[in-house]
Amino acid sequence: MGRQPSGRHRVSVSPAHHSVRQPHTRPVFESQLALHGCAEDSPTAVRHFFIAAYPRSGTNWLGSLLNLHPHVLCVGEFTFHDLLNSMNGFVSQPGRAAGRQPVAAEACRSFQRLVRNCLRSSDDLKPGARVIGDHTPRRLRVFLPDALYIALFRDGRDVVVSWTFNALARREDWVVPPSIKPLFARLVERFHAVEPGPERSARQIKVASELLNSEAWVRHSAGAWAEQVVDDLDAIARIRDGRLPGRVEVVRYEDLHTNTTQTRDRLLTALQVDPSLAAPVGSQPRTAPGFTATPSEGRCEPETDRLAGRCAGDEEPGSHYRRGVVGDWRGKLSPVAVGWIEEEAGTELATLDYATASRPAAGGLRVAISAG
Amino acid sequence: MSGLLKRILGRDSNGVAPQSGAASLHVRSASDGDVAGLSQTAEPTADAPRPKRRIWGRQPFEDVLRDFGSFPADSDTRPRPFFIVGHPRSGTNWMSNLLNLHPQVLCTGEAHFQVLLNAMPEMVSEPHQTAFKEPAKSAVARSFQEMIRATMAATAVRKPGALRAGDHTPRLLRPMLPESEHFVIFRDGRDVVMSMTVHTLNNQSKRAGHAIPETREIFDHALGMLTSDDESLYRAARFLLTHEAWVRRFAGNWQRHVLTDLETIQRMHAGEYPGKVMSVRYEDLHARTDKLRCEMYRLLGLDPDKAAPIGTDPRTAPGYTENKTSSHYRKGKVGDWRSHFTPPAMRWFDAEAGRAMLELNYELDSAWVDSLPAGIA
Repeated sequence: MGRQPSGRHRVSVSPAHHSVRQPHTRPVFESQLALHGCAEDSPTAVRHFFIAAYPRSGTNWLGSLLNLHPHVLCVGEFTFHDLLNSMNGFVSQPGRAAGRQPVAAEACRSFQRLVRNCLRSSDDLKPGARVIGDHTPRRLRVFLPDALYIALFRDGRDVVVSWTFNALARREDWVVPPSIKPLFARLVERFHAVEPGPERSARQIKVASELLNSEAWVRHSAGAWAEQVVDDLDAIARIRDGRLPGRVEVVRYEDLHTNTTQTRDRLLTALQVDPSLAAPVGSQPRTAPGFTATPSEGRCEPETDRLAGRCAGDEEPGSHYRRGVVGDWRGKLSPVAVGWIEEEAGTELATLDYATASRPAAGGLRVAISAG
Repeated sequence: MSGLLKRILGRDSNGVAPQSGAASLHVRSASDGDVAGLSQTAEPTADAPRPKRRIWGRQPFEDVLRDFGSFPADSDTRPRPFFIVGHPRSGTNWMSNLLNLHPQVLCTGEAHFQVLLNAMPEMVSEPHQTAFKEPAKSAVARSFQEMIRATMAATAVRKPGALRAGDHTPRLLRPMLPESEHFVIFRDGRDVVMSMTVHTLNNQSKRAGHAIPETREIFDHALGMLTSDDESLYRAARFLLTHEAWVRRFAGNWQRHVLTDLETIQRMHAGEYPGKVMSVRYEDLHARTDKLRCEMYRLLGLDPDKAAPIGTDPRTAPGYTENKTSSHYRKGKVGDWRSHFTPPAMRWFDAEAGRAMLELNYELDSAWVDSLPAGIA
């Protein structure tokens, strides 16, 4: 099993019955974290941050960009949200020992210590790191009251396309609605049966296009994305008005593409480190937009050296780093499929300033980003 | 019955049950060697296939804790945790009350640490996760253990002078801390089914009563039989016990719980999991309360002479009852099932839980189902 969007998936494929999508109920435990925060062990304490996003939204890339700073370490994916959900049940049952004080407060502090200890367990990878983060693709959940939360959004249409290739490449049967599991199984076999060679990418893209023509698959994927967007926007609002602890920054994948260095530096500033100390974008593998090789690397052969990068626009359908471009959906989705996505997630696309056929970009998110 | 389990539970090699209580206390420390009663425990041979674990759910996080966890530092002066476990309605509360008679013990409640334990595999079981490999894996295991220790220590603040902090959640035996003692209490499954039935009615627990579709209707009917008259509770319980789905469900759950715990005990005895474990039968605790509780104090490293006498707290005497059918301490009686089981219920129970009954030496074979319960006669 690979990356899993946290929280529940709506499996229904009936169209557009979600006219007003509501955020899921948020566990009480998250708001209690501020009440029972644990003191740092030393005054030179390491700070922490969490990148939150729907899978295939660029969490790996953003982590790599932040890692260009000598004092920042974005170590990987700890799925803390599963434990956080359990903590909520653990401390919120009045009849249980942990539902009473002082045990509940100690459980709260212990959870925070666990999160900090886990994040710091890899700090020898970068001696001198003062800010350590996690880039698990998941809903925005609060784990530490003093952390920075970076909400990363990407155009849901590109997410659906990328999610489709990822599901086929990684045989992610568990993300597939029951009604189309047989179709998915057949397509997975064909996807992986394609022999290496110059036609490989084109043939795998053709297989993926069949899944992208499945109404059940497209609606399901778009609906799941939209659900997370609603939840994450709710969490952002709660953090900003103080109902949840922490600080939050909002980033759009597309803005990160367009203004990579500027956007990265904004986040580094929010992390309270000096952006001028960071290495240039592209100086390390997988930091340039689209994972392209920099001119200094002088190569455009991803099959021979995938770490180095590739030519702009190249595509590796079976790779975790498939393409990394903005607007890829325009060449991958039929107009009918785009219509399904807009029916399922049109409201959320517009909220995030992604223009659709029926809704122009509202511009609201940009205001929210600047406000942050 | 496996020879190994026979030996763990004290049945001799001829399949003869021991005299009442004679070999029903079995203690062994993985770190300290035999404490009592297990000199004949067989160790698995190196070439013997390891039995497949029947733990419910995913791969147990205990494996991660065993491989990557840690003992507390010697300088750790917090009250040290221990655990009382068992199937619900098996006497975990009573055992806890007995241990609380000691001034250096506080065993206060049910923390349900298994809720957290069940979530932990999600952090370490997928290759793309950071904690799938070192050094993060150790950090996760040790931080989890530290969470348990800190939370347990927090419970003990209510009793100044407590050196040991206990938890008595009725649950499966799941070793989490290598330094901890685990007391496993077993009770005759027939009495457990009877007690679970009354308890479910008392709490009007639809979560339990409606757990399977076959029991929904009969449970609702039984609830309708309840009046202000205490005897109506027993009438409703007997009604439920005449239904095959009801008896089979509770009997099957009990057997699964017992067999899983027996296997875990075996693994702890074999050194596969660290920690000390002592198993006690409820009926033996009834018959030899003082002797067994002293064994438990000693396993905790405490002086039994410092403990208050049994009965000082009324909820420590064997068979204590509050004479209220609605009480959590309803009856505490050994063999109460005989007044309520019908012959068909006995057969259904034996079909679902006969193996565990043999393993725990409650019966030598299935001949008991042909005897007529006293209450029915």
